[in-house]
Amino acid sequence: MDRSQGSPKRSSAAGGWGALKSCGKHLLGSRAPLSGARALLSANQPDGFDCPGCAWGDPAHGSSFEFCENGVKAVSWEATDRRATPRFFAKHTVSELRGWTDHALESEGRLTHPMRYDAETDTYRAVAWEEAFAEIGATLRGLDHPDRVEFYTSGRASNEAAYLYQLFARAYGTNNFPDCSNMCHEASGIALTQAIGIGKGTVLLEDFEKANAIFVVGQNPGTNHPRMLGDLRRAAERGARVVVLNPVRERGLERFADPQNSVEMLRGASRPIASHYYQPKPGGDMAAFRGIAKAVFARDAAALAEGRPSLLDHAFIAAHTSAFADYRAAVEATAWAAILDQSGLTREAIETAADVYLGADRVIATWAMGVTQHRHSVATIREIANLLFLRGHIGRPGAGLCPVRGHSNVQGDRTVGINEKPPAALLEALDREFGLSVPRKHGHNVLGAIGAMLDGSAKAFIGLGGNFVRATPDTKLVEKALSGCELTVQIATKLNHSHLVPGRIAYLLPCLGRTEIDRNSRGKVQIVTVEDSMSMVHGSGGINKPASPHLRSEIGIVAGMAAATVGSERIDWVALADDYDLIRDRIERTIPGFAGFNTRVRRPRGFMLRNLAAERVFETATGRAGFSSGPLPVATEHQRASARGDTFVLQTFRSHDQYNTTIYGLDDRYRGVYGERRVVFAHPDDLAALKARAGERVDLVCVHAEDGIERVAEDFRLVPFDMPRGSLAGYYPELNVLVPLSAFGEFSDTPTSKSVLVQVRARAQVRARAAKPLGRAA
Amino acid sequence: MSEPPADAETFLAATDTLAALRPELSLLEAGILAGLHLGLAGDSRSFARIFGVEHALVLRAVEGLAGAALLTVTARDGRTQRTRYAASAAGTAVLTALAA
Repeated sequence: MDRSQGSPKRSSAAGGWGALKSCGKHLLGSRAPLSGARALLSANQPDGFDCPGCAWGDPAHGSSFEFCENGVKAVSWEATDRRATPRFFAKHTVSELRGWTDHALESEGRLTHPMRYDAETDTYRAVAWEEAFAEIGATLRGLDHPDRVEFYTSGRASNEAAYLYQLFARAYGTNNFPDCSNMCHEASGIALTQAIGIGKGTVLLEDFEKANAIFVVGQNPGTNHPRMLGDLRRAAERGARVVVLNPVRERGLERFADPQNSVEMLRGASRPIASHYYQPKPGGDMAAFRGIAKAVFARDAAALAEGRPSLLDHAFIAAHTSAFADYRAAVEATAWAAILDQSGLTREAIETAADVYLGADRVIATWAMGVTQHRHSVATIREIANLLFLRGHIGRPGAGLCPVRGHSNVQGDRTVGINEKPPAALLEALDREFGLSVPRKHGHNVLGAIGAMLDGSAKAFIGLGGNFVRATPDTKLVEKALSGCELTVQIATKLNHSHLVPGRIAYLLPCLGRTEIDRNSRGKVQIVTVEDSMSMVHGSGGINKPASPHLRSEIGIVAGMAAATVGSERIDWVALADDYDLIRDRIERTIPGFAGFNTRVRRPRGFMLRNLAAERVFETATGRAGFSSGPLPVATEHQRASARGDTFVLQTFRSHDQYNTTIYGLDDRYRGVYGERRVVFAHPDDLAALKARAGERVDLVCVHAEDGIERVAEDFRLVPFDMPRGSLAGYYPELNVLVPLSAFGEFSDTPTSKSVLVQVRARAQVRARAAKPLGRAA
Repeated sequence: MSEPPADAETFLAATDTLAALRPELSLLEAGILAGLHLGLAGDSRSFARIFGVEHALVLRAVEGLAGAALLTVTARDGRTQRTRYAASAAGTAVLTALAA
């Protein structure tokens, strides 16, 4: 044995570390009397699983949960030793469980057996997998049209599971793909596709190391993607300006909090992070960015008048953009009065932000739900892109657009075909690869699916993960929609409220979590892949023993349903589910950018899907990045509420002990709330105007008379908080009952969860049905 | 950090012997048993560090050995997943054969 091989440094001792490290290599490769494929697979296994939490990128992909408080919560939540067994279900009727909180349901632990709802006893009972697949298949085959089925996807599903799922649905005959991105970043995808030709961001993690100004808009990374704080902190420490626009003054953004230092995170120790913190009115971001652009144009005009060079990147604008003149005209036509009223910011603040922008030669703009869940979100994101185009801040190091996705693979699921409006190229590739004739007619998104279930045109719902009832708006209507179905199938790791509104036939199918070892029929460990917010595709392999021997992987469950529904003549579902490399081969042949998928995904950190916009190649209709030039909204919800005097704009958000609909605990440490979730945050002066005291309990009533439905969220405690007057905030899913199905984003169909018009009513008055809304001073 | 008490050749010989005794084991699994027998590593993280093998791979192999009743997991760190292990009765029997 050559002892120098495989050793980072030579060792003089025969038994030295270097020699033993070389042994490690031998163990995995050269001496292995195993098949080449097995050895290759083992040698290149990714180091651990992708965290099932957020989609923030990893500098060196691995067990990132070790360094992130929320990741630790996500992993330990999945790795619990508690079990929701058939015995548990026998003891509790579905009707009883409906009265439990989200937290209590999930706290029962991991599901262990496939279960079928028994309407006679109102309980779930264990069932054999094959029996479940057979009845699901027979029911689906019995429907009079494939469009009667809604195929919902959670953003936690892996690329392989999502690909097989869309193949199943399309082989069955529908493009009905409601998915969680419909409720979060749909506006980003649409706006960016219009602006730069691709619905994804253009930055890599490394760009945060090079930017010298980062605009963080409508997001709260301290709670939602804590690892981002590490990148922001490092940027700030080397002198980059971090400009925050967020109505709520979030402690996690105000101050440093090192997500790689769990002790610091757990203790809340932190230091300032934002160089500038602005609190626009809800929905005021578009006006703020238009104001910044207006100030930039004024500074540019002044520079030119003084004989200095232009502050704009005219070379980029001329070579790579369209409609610049229209945009400039629109900005100049927008009055400062409108900008200030709509944004709620002072002109001084906006001009300071413009100076930060002009003082940086590499600028990143990053945003999340605070931007995307408004009526005019698409226009707002276009406006953010406009500002970056002015100085060519796209397609070069340290600059670009960065929507920060929520769930760990929401972006990847869309990449591999979860799309109710699929591109023709994808459908043609599927036809060619599998010998199919998949449907061309566009399908349903989330709102379309709910509408179809409500009007009876959809008869079946299949949920690949997630918690549809609690994630969607208008909770009571969605419960009605699901419970009216002929068939509901929920694939899940833990019990949640979506499982408690069964259709006539209802199945609860337990799957492996991402942290668990997934072996195929030959004992070979399988890996899956995910795509993060920076378009990096990583491998992920579980390391924990499965919670129950009866669990199947999501892929295996999808394959079982597909085989029972559409048969295996054209597609060998079982073979695909038994070797995920075979699924990746199919992805490689049908989805652009995945050449060499099985090899590249086993490299450390995976690989980046090619992003043409990041190379300044814009696949828009004009072949250029497009400035948009629409006017500001006639009135934002904030302005409408101000005009009424008794109305507030409510935004729903997460607590710190929460990940989407998963409630890990009842605290919100950064906001000083402990042991409860039914709270509503308000400006102290608004409490005074309401003649309400901190801690007083109120009901919230949605002001949305268009559909004649009274929506009430009962019994919330008022908490004073640093936020704009006229605005309120509280947690979803509890407040989703107030979000109207009929209020959604223009072009995106995203529920307007960040701008719900509500009134505040005292509890006793509501009970007496003689309530008058509590008014507030204008 | 002190040097490991056994040299590479001894380790590889023990691994080969174990692999021959229990052909259903992967070389990595056999190596973990050999490392335990020779006192090189009694937990997954140490084994990963000494042999330059990714921790996740070692964890999977330990799970496999525990599933085959050759190892008993004695402790696990919830944050890092570092897993400490000892030979089970069946594992001890195999290692005894190795010593013979």
